[in-house]
Amino acid sequence: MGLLERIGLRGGEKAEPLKPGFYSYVAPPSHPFNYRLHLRIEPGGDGLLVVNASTVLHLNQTATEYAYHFVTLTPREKVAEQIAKRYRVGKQRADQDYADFANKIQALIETPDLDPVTYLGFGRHAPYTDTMSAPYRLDCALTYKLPKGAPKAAVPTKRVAKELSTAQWKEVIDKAREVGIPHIVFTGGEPTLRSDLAELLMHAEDHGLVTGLITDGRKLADTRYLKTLLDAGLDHAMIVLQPSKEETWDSLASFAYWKEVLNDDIFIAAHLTLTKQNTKQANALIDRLAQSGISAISLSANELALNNKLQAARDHAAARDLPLVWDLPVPYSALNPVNLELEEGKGSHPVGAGHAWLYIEPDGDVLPEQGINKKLGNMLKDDWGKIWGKAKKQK
Amino acid sequence: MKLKIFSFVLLLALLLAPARVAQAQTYAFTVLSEIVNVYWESDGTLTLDYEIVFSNADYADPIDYVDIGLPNDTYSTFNTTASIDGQPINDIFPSPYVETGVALGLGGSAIPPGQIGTLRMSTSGIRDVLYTDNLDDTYASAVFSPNYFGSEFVVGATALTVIYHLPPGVTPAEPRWHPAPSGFGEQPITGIDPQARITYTWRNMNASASEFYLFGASFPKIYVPAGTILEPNFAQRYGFDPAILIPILFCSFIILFFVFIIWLSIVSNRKRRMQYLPPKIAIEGHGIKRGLTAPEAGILLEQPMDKIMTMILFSVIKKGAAQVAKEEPLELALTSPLPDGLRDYEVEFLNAFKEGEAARRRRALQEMMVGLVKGVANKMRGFSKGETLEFYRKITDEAWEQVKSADTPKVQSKVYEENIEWTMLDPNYEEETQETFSGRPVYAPIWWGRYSPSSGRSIPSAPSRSTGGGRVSLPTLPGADFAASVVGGAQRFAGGVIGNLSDFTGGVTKVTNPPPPPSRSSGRSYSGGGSSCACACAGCACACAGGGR
Repeated sequence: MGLLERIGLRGGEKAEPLKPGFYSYVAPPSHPFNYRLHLRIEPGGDGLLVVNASTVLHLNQTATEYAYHFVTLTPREKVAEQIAKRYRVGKQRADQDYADFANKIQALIETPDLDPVTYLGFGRHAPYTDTMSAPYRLDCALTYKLPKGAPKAAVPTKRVAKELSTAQWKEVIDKAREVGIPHIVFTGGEPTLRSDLAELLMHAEDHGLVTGLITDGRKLADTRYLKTLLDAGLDHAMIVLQPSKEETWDSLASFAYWKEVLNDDIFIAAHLTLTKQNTKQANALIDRLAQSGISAISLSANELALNNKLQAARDHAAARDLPLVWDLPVPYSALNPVNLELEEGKGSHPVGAGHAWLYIEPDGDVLPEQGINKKLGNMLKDDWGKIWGKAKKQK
Repeated sequence: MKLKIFSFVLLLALLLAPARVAQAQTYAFTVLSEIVNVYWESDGTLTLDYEIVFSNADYADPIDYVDIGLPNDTYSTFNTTASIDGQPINDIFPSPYVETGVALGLGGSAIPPGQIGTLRMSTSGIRDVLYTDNLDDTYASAVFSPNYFGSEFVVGATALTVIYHLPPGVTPAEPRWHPAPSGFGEQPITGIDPQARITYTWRNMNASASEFYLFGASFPKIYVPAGTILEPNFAQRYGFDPAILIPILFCSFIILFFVFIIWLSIVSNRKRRMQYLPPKIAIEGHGIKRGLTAPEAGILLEQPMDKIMTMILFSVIKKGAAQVAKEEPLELALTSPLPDGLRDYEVEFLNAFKEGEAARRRRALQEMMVGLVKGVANKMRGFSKGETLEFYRKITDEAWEQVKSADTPKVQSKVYEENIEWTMLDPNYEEETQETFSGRPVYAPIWWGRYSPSSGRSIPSAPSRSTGGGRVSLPTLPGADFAASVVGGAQRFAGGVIGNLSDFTGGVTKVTNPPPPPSRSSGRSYSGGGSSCACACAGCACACAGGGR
């Protein structure tokens, strides 16, 4: 380092916000809390920190820098040094702010029921209101094939004639990683009909992405098959419940089995669609689901008239200590308890569709979500900027 | 020898080197005496007459040249005459050794070692030697320093005499002398010379010929032409010695340069760094969670458990699912079959009362409360606890407002009946209830008899307000009794059903808010690990319900 550099007159570039990028951290298996962090640095320096693919934190530029160091495991003393070099702040203050930031994130991870606004001093950010550089999640319909005997209602519109190959899906996953999408959900059709499902899960896992699976669960009743998916890195699954099919229940049992055997924190949710025919059994079904050891429940109704029943079912699930998930690919319907409760959720599609998540058809075409057949482009053929630009226009 | 004349200040003092007797020789001498007559002429010029007596040392070389410094370069060698021991000196030329001055070549009259010689030199017409006095600008200041020699040549003391001859015409009262150098009398000896000019004489018999002395006097400007008096420059005015000033300036420049570099570095570094704003985290989540029942809102508002169970009691009685069979200790008679529309926690509440044994009933109620707390926590996921709390506090306030603003006791009772659970969420509901209803008759709600059998009225166990057009005659109660009965509901729970409230609550919160797991060992703990649920208080039915996720 030359004299001028030493005295700070030359060589020091003007500090700029961190460059856009995507960083992830996976807690080691020995850690008492199984968690993942994904940090996406947006153009301009602000960031998104996604905890366990479900809690989205919006960070200002300074918090983004601290998150970057937290995710990349920078030694604490180096963090203060770096921050003090880049910002007009003393090392002591930077160190204190970093410790405070890190403690808050840890508290959020380790105390899931803590209200972060009340107890950690977080602000609240209305969901999906920001202009983002990429969605939070990509729902990949690997195939539109369904198992034999599947109900007609479950057959998706046949919009595509061909399916992407394994290599092409891997390319989609690579692209998702590249643009900073932290979460991939494999859906269908019935994604377990793809023989390369485990391979794709592993590929996403290798990229540090959170992976999920939406399935009717029949194939997962086979514990050996389920084990291959878990070994490949499957983080969560949602079983679309078909109450009359015992295989569905068996799949839940299969999960419960591995959960106990592997002592793993597998997140398993079940989705129940309320219809006029099953509302009377809803509470009993929820009770049975609660006993099956699932982590959460997803509810929707097939018609708006069942809203009260849906809310009652939601209350019943809450009383059975079953948390509700409502923003996974199922329900595709906007008729889910939370969406119906929100003023902005009265539309025909869930809030966040085409913005917080996108949907990839089996041939790589991108839709805002399943059921909104407005093609935004093709994930393999088109530039991401063009696809995302179109998505934002449609928001 | 070298003569120096100084202006009002010492500007030239250090610019001129000490006088030199000669060059490249071994010189050593004593200046036995030095007499300088300094004539400040009426034309503004200076005339100098030097008489210097040298005593050359035995061991030294002859003194063959003497250089004398002069105040500035306005002197002329043509106006200069000199002699040594009476012998004229013709070899007079500008000194090559002092910046401003003349060299006197003694030639064959050089003073041999061990000999004494007397040098005389006279020069006139030296201009630009007067300055405006800095204390009185009507006066001219005349400052002069007699010649001095290099200390390496001079040995012994010198009898030094400096005689100022002020311009002709100056009267004795007008001139002022300047402070004398050390070793000279404080005041000069005043006198008048043969030309009737005022004289100031300074004398020191033990002066040093190698030391710098400065003498000065001021006199009115009118005695010399105005154009011959110079204005002192900055250094002269403020007494800086230019010879000192320059090194000081140089050092200051060096220091300033480094200060400037440091400053520039700080500024540059600061400019290069970005503005620091405190880190801010905002969680993505919805706002108000609507649709909670009053007991659920009570959980969120961290109301005591006995109060929450009283609210549930009111609720099941209003729905016609039960009636109080015995007030102390509380026993309920359940309706069979139970009516529709009961919440899960209400069913569990009623089931608890099927337990005959107090401890088992207590456990069942705890389980019910655990379920209720967890249910609220589940419902709050993804919503803001803070905004939801605010929302339900507002509902509570509005409930009381509606009750109080009712026009008639009948309307008031009806509104109160509809809102009773919400009013109970008010932390001051006991006082509010007594204040609102005491001292006036109260129309008891139709289900009142099921809640307070001691009021002596038997009421059917199912709601029967819709009577096909028939009128229901509601009983009136003294307001104070009514209020006491409502308020006493919670006390009945505390005393007769759940026993010690703290123990009961502890049994619930140990399930809903378990202690945090041991601190992780990943080395990323910064201040003692994560926090536990902040609302895990033992004395209230609080829940870590919510929020944002």
